Amino acid sequence: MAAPEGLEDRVVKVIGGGSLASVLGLVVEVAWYLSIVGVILVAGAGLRGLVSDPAEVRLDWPVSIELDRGSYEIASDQLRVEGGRLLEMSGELGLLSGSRGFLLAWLMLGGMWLAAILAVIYQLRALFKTLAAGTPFVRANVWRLRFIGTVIIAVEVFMTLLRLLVSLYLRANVTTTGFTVKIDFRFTAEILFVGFVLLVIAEIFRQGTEMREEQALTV
Amino acid sequence: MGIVVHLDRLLVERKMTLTELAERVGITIANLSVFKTNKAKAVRFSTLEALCRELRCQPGDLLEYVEGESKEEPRSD
Repeated sequence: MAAPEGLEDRVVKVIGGGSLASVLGLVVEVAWYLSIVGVILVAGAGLRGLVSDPAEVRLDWPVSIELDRGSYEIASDQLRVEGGRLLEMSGELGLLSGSRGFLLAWLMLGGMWLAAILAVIYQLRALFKTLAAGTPFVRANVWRLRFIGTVIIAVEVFMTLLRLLVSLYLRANVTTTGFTVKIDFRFTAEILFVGFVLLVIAEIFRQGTEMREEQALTV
Repeated sequence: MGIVVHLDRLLVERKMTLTELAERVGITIANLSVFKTNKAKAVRFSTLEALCRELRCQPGDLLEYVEGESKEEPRSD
């Protein structure tokens, strides 16, 4: 199918100065500074916990739960309702850290997660700077896109496994009444999809960069 | 070695400067310099034609294939 006529006459300028890319670059820039503030706040809170009373620091862990049958009722005077199901119920389990070691492990985990976010935003910043400058096809951008895609996939896989392990541990060690902590094996397919799409786009950028370099050395 | 460019030799033989040739051919000195120093990845037929016209030579006088390691592998895609 032929490209629609006038495709070059885009209404919105996508890359270069004053373009959509430069606006998105500003958003990333704001996210970068907000992330730094977030890291400082979290680090401060963690250190305060470690110094004051590490055993009493409350940690909230997200869990999926399943209500026990019989612990809830569904009825209607107007409609004929035959039972029902409650789906996708989630909440947080408030755990006290118990020891300095546990809190340290928790902080390290949070630190790794924040580091991954910072690294991704840092690379995004650099990427959008080249887009705003109108020079997208540079080798560094190939590396940046691969890095971002890989980190997104790695973090999602890691978090999926971690949620699974913690949910198994909680089921074995926490007694609940009226509900059960579900074995948490859920991954966000959209996030993994975005990660893999970025790896594909990185390859497109690699080929684009090669073509640009070749074009620059064509006399 | 691959393809070797003999622009240097031809310029001396024709008593012509790089700047003069660049003006006559209609390409920048920087681009012609890339060609002269064997850094070019590709040459347009139009450029080759203009060079041969101005230097009064054949493509074979400008370019020579030398047995040995190539500058780069041909692209597979």
